[in-house]
Amino acid sequence: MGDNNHTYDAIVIGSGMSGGWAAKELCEKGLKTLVLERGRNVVHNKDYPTTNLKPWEFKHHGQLPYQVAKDNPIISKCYAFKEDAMHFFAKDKDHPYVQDKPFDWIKGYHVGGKSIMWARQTQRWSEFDFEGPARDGFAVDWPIRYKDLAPWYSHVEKFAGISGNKDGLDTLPDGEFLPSWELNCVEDHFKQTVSKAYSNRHVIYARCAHLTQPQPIHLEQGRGQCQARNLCQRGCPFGGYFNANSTTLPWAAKTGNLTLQPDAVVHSIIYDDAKGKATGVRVIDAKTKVFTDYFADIIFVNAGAINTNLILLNSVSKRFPNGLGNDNGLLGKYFAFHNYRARISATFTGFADRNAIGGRPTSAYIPRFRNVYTQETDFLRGYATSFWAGRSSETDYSGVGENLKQHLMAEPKLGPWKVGAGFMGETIPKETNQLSLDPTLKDEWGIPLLHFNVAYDDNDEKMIKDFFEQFTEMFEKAGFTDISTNDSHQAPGLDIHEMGGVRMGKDPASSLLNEWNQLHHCKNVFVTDGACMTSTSTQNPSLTYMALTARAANEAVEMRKRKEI
Amino acid sequence: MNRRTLLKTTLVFSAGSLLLPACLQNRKGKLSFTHFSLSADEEEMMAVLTERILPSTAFFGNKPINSHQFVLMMADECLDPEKQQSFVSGLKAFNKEAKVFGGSDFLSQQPADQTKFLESLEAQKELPTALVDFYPLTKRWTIEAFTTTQQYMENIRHYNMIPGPVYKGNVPI
Repeated sequence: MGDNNHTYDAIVIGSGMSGGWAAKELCEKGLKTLVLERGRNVVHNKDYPTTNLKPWEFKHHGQLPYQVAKDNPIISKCYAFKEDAMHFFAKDKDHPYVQDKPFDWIKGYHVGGKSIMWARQTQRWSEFDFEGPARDGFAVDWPIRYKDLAPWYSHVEKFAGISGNKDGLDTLPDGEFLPSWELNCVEDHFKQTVSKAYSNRHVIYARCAHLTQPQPIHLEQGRGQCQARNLCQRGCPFGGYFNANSTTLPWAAKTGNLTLQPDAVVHSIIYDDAKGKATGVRVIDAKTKVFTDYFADIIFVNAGAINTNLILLNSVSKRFPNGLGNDNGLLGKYFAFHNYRARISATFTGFADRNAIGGRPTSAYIPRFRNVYTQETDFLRGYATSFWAGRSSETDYSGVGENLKQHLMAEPKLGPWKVGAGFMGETIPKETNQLSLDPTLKDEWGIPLLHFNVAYDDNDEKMIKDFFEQFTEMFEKAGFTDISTNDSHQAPGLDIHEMGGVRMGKDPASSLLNEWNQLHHCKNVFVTDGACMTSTSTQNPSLTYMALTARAANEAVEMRKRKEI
Repeated sequence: MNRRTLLKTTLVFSAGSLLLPACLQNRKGKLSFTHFSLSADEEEMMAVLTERILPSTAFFGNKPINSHQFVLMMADECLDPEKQQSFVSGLKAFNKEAKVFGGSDFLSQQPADQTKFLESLEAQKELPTALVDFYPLTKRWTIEAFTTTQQYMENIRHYNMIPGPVYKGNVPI
């Protein structure tokens, strides 16, 4: 099939974390694939305008100008929305939505999506996560188990390049790892303290998508070793971390089978009542607003969890008046996220004669230890925790003139170690946590605005309380002092781990997608981004989206060969 | 009238005076800002003040850093309107405080006296209310203008954008 008549073998909606993987797998298998991206093109190493700018080259030395913050009250809450990376975030006023309950929607509308600015944490799910809903009686049972996904985790890890240690934990399965970064002495002290005091609590170095030792497959991608610049959100000139722009998309392009179309806002998926399947995608040119239809046998929806819900809800036909595949009315429901509200910090006066030198792109990690083997608390599930320690330093800014000058020219005085732990709580998907379309309000492209009815519940509050109690105890055992807890009370969304709304399940009556991420009622449409998630676990979810996508794409190719779709 | 009300009135008055044509007050400064304008004397005062806080010309090859330009640009572009108004009022109040301390306008004072005035401010437990949104920010940005120069970052702090993949977490000091 050619592209003159707007017809392809496959269409992928979205070019980010999971869309890039769909494109790579489908193109490698010989399918002529159109990737639709609503934003501008971002070419690796060409369109990273700030990547090599030094601190003194930023007009405001990295701070956000007031007008930018004022115009973007939502996106300004994101830690990465600073002078160096603000061009990679969609601006609030361009993309309005309706917050029936507060929700901070952080968006990256450009080729590569949020894979450019992500935090690069890549922990596998474990069997406990896939079994969770069935065992604990929430959401619906996952239609797959860890063993179904394990080979695909390996598949994406090898290609993306994941650093980590083989820690041998059943709560956090090992993978295909490049060498890990190391814990510093205080993190290691905490690790030793925790492992002595508790049988199932483990402090490890987090697995992350950084090339610590590039393999031939990475060099072939044109990527090099991570140089620990810690400026990843700008795009990396070395290709030292995984993003779609440096990794999956160029690989897909190299096959000659990829057509990448930026500035293509998807209106809906076209369903043909007579054929009983989806036949294509309706697209609005972001600039000219002209509509064009594109056609394909296979459609992958990877618009990012929220926009995937939006597109499916907006894909109405005679057969599906309430949104594509939505016979049971559950589309947009059971939407969930991660609870990132809680932090705890402290001081450690030990190791006063030690310091850490050099850069590190991530930090330590403590997998979930609550309610793993049995239900042991008054809340369901649990939390993973990021943990870090660093030596503080103090510069004396007192005085003026020569006095002050001398202070600034002196070496900063080393202070005590500071430690911190960040909470990543599993939230329980609920029918009441829902995305829906506004009946009248529309955006610049005539697409209905999305309503957010998403909130924390009592389970989340209890979990935060437990986190504070457990980590205060663990910190005290480690000899940390000045322990202080902080609940930011931030709205859902700022975790940027939005999931669900188009959940997978065994039964078409209670789920939208089957075990291959196909819509139960429209088998040639696959949803493999965050929208497909049945439950949320405690792990940063991107790696799981990648694995699910690669798995589904390869199966889709086989199904097409067998003429099942 | 209590002190708070008086302060508010002063602020409103100062803000109002900003709207007067520049020629009625003084010659306009060379620098232009979006949200306020300064007279040539006020601009000069900022240049001298930042120089007294941190004598930049004494550093790298006597090349001036012009910290006041950075300070005023940040005040213009990075402060919310309320803070910004308070900063500009504080700028004017600064000269008044200097006059009370040294008997003449800050600009007319000898450098040593200017420094003495700043030292007196630093020695106070609490700054005069009119200066709380002016002096600390001016000092912070003056320092930042200096510590973010290429010369300082590279030569004094050994800044390296590309540290390389080596991290050692347990190094004796």
